[in-house]
Amino acid sequence: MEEFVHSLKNPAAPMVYSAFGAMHTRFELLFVEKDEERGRRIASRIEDCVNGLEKDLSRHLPGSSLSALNRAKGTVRVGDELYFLLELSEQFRAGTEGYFDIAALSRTIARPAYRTFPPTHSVERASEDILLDLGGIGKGYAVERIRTILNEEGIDKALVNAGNSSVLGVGAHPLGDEWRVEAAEGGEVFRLRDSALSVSGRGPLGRTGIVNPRNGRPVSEGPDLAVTGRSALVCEILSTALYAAPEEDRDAIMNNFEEYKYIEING
Amino acid sequence: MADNNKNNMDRRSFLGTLGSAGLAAAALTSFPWMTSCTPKAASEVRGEKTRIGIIGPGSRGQLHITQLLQMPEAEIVALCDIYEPNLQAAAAICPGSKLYRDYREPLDDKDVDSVVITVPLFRHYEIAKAAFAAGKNVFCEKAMCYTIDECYDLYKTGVASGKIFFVGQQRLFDPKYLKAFEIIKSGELGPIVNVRNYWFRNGDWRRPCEPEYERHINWRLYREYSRGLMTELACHQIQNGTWALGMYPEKVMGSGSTIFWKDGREVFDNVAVIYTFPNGINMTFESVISNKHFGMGEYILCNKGTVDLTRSRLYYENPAPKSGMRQLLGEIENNIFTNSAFAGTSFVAETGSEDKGVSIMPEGLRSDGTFEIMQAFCRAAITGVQPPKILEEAYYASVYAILGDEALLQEKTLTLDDKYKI
Repeated sequence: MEEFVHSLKNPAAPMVYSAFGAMHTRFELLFVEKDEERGRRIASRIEDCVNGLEKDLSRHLPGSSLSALNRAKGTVRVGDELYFLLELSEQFRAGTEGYFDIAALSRTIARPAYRTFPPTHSVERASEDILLDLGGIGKGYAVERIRTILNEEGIDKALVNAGNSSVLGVGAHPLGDEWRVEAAEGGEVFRLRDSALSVSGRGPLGRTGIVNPRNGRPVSEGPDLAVTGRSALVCEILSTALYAAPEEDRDAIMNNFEEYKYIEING
Repeated sequence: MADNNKNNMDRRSFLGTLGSAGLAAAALTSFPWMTSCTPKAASEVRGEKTRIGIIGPGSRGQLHITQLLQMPEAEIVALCDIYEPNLQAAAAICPGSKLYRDYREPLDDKDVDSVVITVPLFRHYEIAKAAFAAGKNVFCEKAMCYTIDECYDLYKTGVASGKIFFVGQQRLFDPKYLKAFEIIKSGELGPIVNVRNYWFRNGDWRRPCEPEYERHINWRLYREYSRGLMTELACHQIQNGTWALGMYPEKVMGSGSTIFWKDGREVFDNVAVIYTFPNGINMTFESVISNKHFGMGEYILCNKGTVDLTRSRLYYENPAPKSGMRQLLGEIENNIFTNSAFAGTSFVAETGSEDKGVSIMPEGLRSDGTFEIMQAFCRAAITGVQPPKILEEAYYASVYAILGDEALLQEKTLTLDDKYKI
């Protein structure tokens, strides 16, 4: 854990703050908890969980299950978590008009890029040129896993931040009715209460990791997009898809997702 | 005046922390020579003075005089120089002192307890050795001597004399360096992987003088008197490696030449030297005096961060972004409910190379250790207790600077003969 702070400075709001590096970014947690040791244990549990996810789901780690799948010839059996995410990803590909696509980095445009076999939790790629990358879903999924842990631990007021781009407000701010998160560049304020926020766009150096699955090229234009809604996972998928999609296709995508909203920021 | 007050405040503040719990124990373990800088050491010598003779009060000597005049532990009683303009300039700063023109005179003067030797390098050995023979405490400017043999003999002589012996390696007392090395030695930054030193200037290194005094005043440019960049500049910087690693270099190689200032000088105006430690870690020293773009730099590179010693800044390999969440915590602590502005595209750890680093010491601290090392010398001269390790650090800094120069001259990779290891 890179940072851990337990603060009793405000008796009305005893807080835990912790931060750790994972998934090529920095995760931060802020939650109400009076007991320091308990707070530390919860923070450690969350860090272990996210590190475990990264080890299993990162295509950059040679030992991960996803890397094994990307190397495999033919059908391969995968773990439950990876299988679940692969099935989910395919459903979201369909629901986003193809703009959310975990095979977007592949050298082939074969779609579906893989087949899943429910009875055995096995997967087969359409060709060996298919490269699967969960980068557009991983942080959102990790944030949802963190929500589950907080719920199990009885934490009902928390803010979870994965690299500033995926944020989840659990319950309310200890001094208010909601967590109020503002865009770093100013302007838009997002009011989070048991809801999430995801931002996609160009990074601080003007680069983006998002590829348009239709042409395989990095998306390099347009203002950043923020999506809010109940699930951090869905928010991340939608912000990725909407950023890759042409403006005229966005409403069609959003029609498939009730109670989620998007807005252009930093334009 | 305001700046002086600020520096004094900074200095007092820093030295005060050495006397406080926590840092004191750690700092004094890593930097044992700092024993003379604690509040306890100051109280032990209160009201007492060591009577000082300055031998060779040129520019460096005059700086020491101005600082000694601020120290309650010091009284300058004699000045000595064969170059009359320097002697008169020093006398103007420090009126009332006895004026001598032969170094043997202050050594024979019973009113002189301690001498500060700021003469050209080639005379350090002769004068310091005579000073010990006369029973004086010695503060000698760096480098210690011109040859390794002289350094070794003078070290032995100084120790055998039982007198106080300091060499002007002021970085050993520089608050910026002490704090930086404390961080490095804590292991927080991981293992050291490289030490990088450089000193770039754009100037001929000459001082104006009458032609008959050319070799006397511009002694740094002539081989008979000086080893140029290695003893005048590298001597300070190569100490960083031994200090950080806690070991001494195994070998040294390099290349030196005169590429720009071809004005009759005999020392190199361009050197690049690599010292390799027994664990394989390299320490470099580069100096060019015909381009000042890079200025002076001293860096300890660790696996998890880089310490910029001269600017007192620390650069983590994976720096934390400015955290809006951290700010939010502060607001909650202060019972403030407001917006937190941090949402945006993903922070990516790999972009950290553009990190501006964090300050190790308070901004505006200008002390470079020169005042502190001289004050420590005065206190030691009063108590008669030589601070541990300070002479050994200085000895090896000089010896390895000289060995580096020999490697340049001989165009060979050299190792230090075991007989010179102390």
